[in-house]
Amino acid sequence: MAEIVLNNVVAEFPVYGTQPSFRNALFGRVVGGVLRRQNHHGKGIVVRALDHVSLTVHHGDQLGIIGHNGAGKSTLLRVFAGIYEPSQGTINIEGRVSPLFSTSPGLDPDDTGYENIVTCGLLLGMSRDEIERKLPEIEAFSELNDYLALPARTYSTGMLVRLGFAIATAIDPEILLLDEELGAGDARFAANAAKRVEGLIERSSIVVLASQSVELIRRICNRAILLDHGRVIADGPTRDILEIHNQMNKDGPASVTLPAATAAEPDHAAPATARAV
Amino acid sequence: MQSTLALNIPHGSVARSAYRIAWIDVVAGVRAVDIWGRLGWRETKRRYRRTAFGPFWTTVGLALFVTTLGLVWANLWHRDPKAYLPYLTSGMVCWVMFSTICLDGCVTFILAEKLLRQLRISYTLLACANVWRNGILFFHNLTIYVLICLYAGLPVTWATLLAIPGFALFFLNAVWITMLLGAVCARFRDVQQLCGTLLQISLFLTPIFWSPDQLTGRTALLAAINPLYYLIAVIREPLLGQAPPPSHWLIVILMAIIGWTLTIQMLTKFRPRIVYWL
Repeated sequence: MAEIVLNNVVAEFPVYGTQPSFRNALFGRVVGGVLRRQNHHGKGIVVRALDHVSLTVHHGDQLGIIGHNGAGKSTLLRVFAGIYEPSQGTINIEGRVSPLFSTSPGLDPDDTGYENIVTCGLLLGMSRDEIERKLPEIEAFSELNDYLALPARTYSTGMLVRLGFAIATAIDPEILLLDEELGAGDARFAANAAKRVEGLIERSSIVVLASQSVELIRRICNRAILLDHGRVIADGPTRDILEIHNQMNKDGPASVTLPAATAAEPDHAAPATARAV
Repeated sequence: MQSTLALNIPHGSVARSAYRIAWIDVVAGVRAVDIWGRLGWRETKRRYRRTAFGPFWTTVGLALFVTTLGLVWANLWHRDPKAYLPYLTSGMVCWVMFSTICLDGCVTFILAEKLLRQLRISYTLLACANVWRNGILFFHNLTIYVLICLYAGLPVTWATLLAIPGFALFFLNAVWITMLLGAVCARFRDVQQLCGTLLQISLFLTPIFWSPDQLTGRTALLAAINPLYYLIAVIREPLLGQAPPPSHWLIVILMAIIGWTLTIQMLTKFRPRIVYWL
């Protein structure tokens, strides 16, 4: 059973480069507290991207993450992927995760499509046999035909997205993570992608999609969360959440009164209550 | 059920200690020969794409360097070129491998930023790819040494075979060196510059151009306490047809033990932070 459990997760990004790093650390040692007094605990500037997020994603959830720029959508996805480890709180993930952010991992523009399929496949945790077996499927879905024998730098952005999507979804992931660049494909591809994701969902897994596209989330997801400044401010069925989102866009966040059952409670009540809406 | 995300690195929940994850990073990384082998080759191919001689360009440059310098210095120091040239070449070939592993090691994690931001991946795997790539380059460069040996009439002896365990030990050390440099340089970008400078000086302070028996008195310490000397000696001496003394092996093994202990410590403490430094 695939499952993701986040408990009070905080993700903070230290900002380096605002002060000379090496010199600071060096003199920080020598001068001790003097320089450190500039900031709290000598930790420098941090950006808090996720602020006490508690969330359980269940088997069969197709979760849409919605929120404006900088709300923490991509960070949350990367926490799901195990890339950013929370600075506070815990995370537990059961299931094989296949992330598809921007382009595919390890894609080399100078390698041919076929070479990239093998490299990316290996990096995503497939065995050579598995890649061999999935190759016809990847070829067919990517619709790249003869281009697969050419270096990837000759591909258009849309073609790269198709290739990456074909590889990432070939893996039989239990948990598929999609970032918004997915929208870079054309309309027909978006339809195909939705169909393929539907196929994946039938194979009973978790799909998480971070996007600003209300349309995409409406089509793919059965559950959505609304992020704002790194907090989950609403969690529930897609339709309800999109409604809140629309209202927020219309009136600004201050005027939105969240329905009690839908809003994630400040003490981070179990998401199960929110799901019961 | 275990999460089988890229390379079987489980998530850092409270139950799983950071120390265990550090070990998994190392073991899973080393075992993924398929991936780091491929990444190493690909990078080699990429750097020399559309050139006629590929990696042999480095070889050509190195060949010019050792033959001209070797002949001049053999004259200056009144040494037999047939003895000096193999000595210099074997040293330089090893040194070039060592110094490029260090320099590339500094940027191993920085350059892999895109990958590291997309996948939960073993850092050891990236370090292995770096060492392997420079190993490939080394074997290209070794052709100069073979040619020089033919010219000098250096015999192949049983001791030459000792180069194989020598390589193994060298690589064992090279991986942890890459790991530590990669992590430190990701956090403190100045270290990369510092490394370049230190390596330049080390070339002259390490017995590459000169041999340790040329030193007398206190300066002899320059070779005796220089770890780089031993690291290079375990490959170089077998290449020259001599069996390295046990003390050389021991020191290099000791370096590996100390280095890997530090690396595991580093991973335990900072593994989750490295990606935030990129």
